[in-house]
Amino acid sequence: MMAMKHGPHAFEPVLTGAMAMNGTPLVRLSGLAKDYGEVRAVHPLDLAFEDGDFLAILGPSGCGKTTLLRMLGGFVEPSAGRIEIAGQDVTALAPEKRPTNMVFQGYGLFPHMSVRQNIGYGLRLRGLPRAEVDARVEEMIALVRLEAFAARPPSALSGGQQQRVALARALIMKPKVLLLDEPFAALDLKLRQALQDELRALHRKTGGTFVFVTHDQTEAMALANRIVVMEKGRVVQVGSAEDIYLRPASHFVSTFVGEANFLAATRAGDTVAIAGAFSFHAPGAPGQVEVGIRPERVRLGAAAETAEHRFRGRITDRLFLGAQVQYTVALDGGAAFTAVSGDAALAAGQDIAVGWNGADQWVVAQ
Amino acid sequence: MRKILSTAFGLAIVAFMLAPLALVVLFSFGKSALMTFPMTGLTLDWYRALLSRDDFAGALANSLIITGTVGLVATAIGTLAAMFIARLRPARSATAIFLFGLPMMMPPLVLALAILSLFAMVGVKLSLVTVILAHLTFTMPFVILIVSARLRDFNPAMVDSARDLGAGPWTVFRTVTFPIIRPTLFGAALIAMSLSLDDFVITFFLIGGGNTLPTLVWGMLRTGIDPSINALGTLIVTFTVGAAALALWLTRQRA
Amino acid sequence: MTGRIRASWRSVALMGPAAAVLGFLFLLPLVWFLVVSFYRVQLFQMIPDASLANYTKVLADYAGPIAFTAAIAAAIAAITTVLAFVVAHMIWARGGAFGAFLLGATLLTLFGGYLVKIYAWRTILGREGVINSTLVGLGLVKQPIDALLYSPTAVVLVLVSYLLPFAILPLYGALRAVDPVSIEAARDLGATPAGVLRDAVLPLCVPALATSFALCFLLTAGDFVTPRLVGGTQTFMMGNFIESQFGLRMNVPLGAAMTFTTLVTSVCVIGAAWAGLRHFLRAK
Repeated sequence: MMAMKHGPHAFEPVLTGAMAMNGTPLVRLSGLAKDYGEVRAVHPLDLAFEDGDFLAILGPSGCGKTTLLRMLGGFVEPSAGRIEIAGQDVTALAPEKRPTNMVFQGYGLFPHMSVRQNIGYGLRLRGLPRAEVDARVEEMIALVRLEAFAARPPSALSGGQQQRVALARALIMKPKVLLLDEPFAALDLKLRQALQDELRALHRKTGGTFVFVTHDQTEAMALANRIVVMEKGRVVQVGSAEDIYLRPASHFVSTFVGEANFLAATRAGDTVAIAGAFSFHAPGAPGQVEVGIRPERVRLGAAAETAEHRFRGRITDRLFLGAQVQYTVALDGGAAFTAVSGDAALAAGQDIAVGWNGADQWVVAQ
Repeated sequence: MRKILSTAFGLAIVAFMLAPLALVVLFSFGKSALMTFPMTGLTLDWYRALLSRDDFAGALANSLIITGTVGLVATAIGTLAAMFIARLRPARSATAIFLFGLPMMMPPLVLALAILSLFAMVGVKLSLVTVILAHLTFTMPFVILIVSARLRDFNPAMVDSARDLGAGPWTVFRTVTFPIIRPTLFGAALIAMSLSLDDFVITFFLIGGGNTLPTLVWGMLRTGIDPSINALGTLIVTFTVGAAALALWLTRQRA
Repeated sequence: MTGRIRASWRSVALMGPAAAVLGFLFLLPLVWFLVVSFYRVQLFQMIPDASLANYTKVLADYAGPIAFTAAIAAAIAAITTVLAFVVAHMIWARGGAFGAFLLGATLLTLFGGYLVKIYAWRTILGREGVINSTLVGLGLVKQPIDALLYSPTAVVLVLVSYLLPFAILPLYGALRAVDPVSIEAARDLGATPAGVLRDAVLPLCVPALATSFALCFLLTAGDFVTPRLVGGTQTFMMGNFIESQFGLRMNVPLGAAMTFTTLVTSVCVIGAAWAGLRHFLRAK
C-alpha cells in the first residue's frame, strides 16, 4: 500500500509489503526535496501510494506539507528528486499538463463565471463537444447538490457551497490524483463535519485517489486510510489512523495526534525498564526512552485492579466534560497522569489505583 | 530570453514617459541655446535669464497663491466628504465616489469653457478667485479618492473605544482620527497642489489678466526660441513631481 | 428623533461644501453650457432661443473634423490602453524591485508637466531637435527628417506618452484585485499562460480597460494644446475649433454645440468600445 523512508540516502525508492507485490504504485516520489534559498522546506523524501488511496498529509503549519502538495500539482518546482504518476515522469510538467487537479485553499473560483461555467471550465479547455461538457457539468452539479445555484456567481454562495464548487470543478476533470489544500480550513465546525462526510462519500462513489493536506488530526483520521505525518520538512511517520494514534513513532507524533501521558524509562538490550516500577520486552535502540499511554486507556480504581501494570496515585483535579470526566492523578513517584473515564464517581483528593495494559502503551526515543 | 525582452520593453516605456521631462531638466543647464546633442557645457545662465524677466515674479506669486489656496480648501472639503462617504453602505459609497469622480473624466477644455460661460452669464469678473474655484472641481475628486481609501481600512473599533472612554465626536476626530490620517491628508493636499500648479488649460481661460507659471510657458512658446523656458519648465516639474513624490512617500508610511 | 436631526445636520456639514463644488462649479456650468448651445448669436450678442441651428451647422460644417478627432482619439486610446496593460501586467506579475521601479516611474510621470512635456516633445522631434541632430550627427541621415513633427503621428506619439501613466494605474489596480489562487486554478484545469490571461485575468480587467480607454479618449478629444504645438496645420482637432469659438470667432453657442456634439460622439465610441470588450472577454 505505501512505503516511505527518509534520511540522507533517500534517493533509492523503498517499497515494502503489499506495495512491492502489487507492482507499480500510482504515485511515486523519489528523493523529492524543496529548498527556498538556505531554508530546506522539504527534506528529500520517498513516498508511494496506490490507486484508490485517500491520503492525508498531516502536520503543524510550516512543516512543509503544503509545499509537498504543491509540488505534486506542479505549482512548486522541486529542488531535487522526481515525481511519477502512473509510471510517467511528471516532474518537469506544467500544472496544466499534469493528470492532477487541485482544490485550493481559498478555492480560487472565477468571480466572473457562474457556478456552471466554473465547473465546466477545464472540460471546455480540453475542447470537448459542447453537449458532452454540458451533460457532465449537470451530472457534477447534481453530485455536489448545487442544482439551485448553477446560474449564480460564486460571490452569491456561502463558504460551504463555494467549497463544493471548487471540488466539482476539480473532480469533473477525472484527475488521476485529486489534491486538496486544507479543504475545510475556512469553514465552521458543523459545516466541516457535513462536508467531510460528503467528501468521504464522493471518494467512495468516484473511486479516485485523493490527497489532502491538513493540520487537524481528527480530520485526517476521519477521512484518510493512510496518514503521512510531517514535522519540520520531514516525513516522520506513515500509517493508518490506528498506527499513528496507538503506535506513534516519536514524541512529536504522540502529542500531535492526541493527548498522551509519558513515563521516563531506559532501554537496554531488548528490555525497557521504568525505574522502581516494571520492565517489559520492547526491542530498539538502547538509551533513554519514554513510555506513552493515552488518557482514555488509563484505568482508575476497581478497573485498574485487573490491569497488567499498576501504580498508586491521588486524584488532584477533576474536570467534568459531559460524556466523560477528566482526572488529573499524581502518581506515587511524582509523575502527573491525565486519565479520561466514564466513571464520574471519583473525587479529588481520593487515593486510587492507576493501571493500564501493555498493549496500550508505546515506546519512543526521549 | 523572454525576461530580457520584457525588461527591455519596460525600460523603453519608462524612457518614453520620462524622456521629455528629463531632457527639459538637462537642457535647462546646457550652454547651447539649441536643444541638441552633444551638449557643449553646463551653465545657470537660463535660470538667471528667467529670474530677470519682468513677468516671472508675478507668475510665481500667482501660482503660489492659487496652489496654496486650492491645496488647503480642496483638502478640507474633500476630507469632510470622504468622512461622510466612508460611513455609507458599500453600494452607495461607490455611487458617491463615481459622482464626485466625474470631473476627473471631463476634458479640462470643456470644464473651463462651461465655467467661463456660467461666470460670464452671472457677471463674475475673472481673477485668481475664479481660477481657484475652477481648480477645486478637478482637485477635490483626488482628495476624496485618497482619503476615503484610507478611511475604509480605518479600524472602527478605535473610534468606538474612544467613544466608550468618554470622548465626544469632535474629541474623537481631534485625538484619534485626525492624528492617524494626518499623513494621508498631507499627501492628498500635495497631490491637489501638484495638479493645480500644473494646470494650464483652465487657468488660461479663467485668469483674465496676469500669468501663472504654466501660462508663462505658453507665452514664451509663442515668442520664439527662449532657452530660459527650460529653466521655467524644470521649476514646474520640480514642484509638481517633488510634491507628488513626497505625497506618495507620506501615504506609503502606513503600510 | 433629535438624534436623527443631529445626524442629518452632520451630513449636511460634511457633504455640503463638496456637494456645492460639484453642483455649482461642475454640474450647473455644464447644464448652462448645454442651454447656451441652443441660443443664437446676433451682432456678437447671445439671444436666448431653443434652436437646433447650431447643431445643424456643426453637423454640416464639422462632420469631417469630428470624425478625424474621433479616429485619432480612438487610435491614441487603443494604443495607450494596450501598452498600459502590458506595463501594468509587468508591474503586477514581475513585482520585486523592477515592478516597484516601473510603478514609481509611472506615478512620478503622472503628475506634473503637461505643457512642459508637450513642448519638450517639440524639441525632441523638431528639425533641429534631439532625434534629428543625433541622426545627422551620427551620419545616419543626410538631411533632418521634417515629418517627425507637425503630423498626426506626432500628436499620437506625444499624447500616448502623456496619457500612459493615467492608463497604467487603473489597470494595475484591477490586476491587484485578481485572486492569485484563481490563476493557479486555471493552470490546474489545463489553461496555458495565454489561456490564463484570456480566461482568468482580462475579463476581470474589463471595467479598468474601459476606464483607461475612456479617459484617454476624452482627454484627447478635448485637447487643443497638443495639436496646436506638434500637430501642424494638417492636424486640426475639435479642441482647436472649439477653442477658436471662444477666441477670435467669439461664438459661444456654436462652441457649446461643437463641445456637446464631440462629447456625445465620444460617449458613443467609448460605449461601443466597452460593449466590444465585454463581448470578446465574456465568460463562455
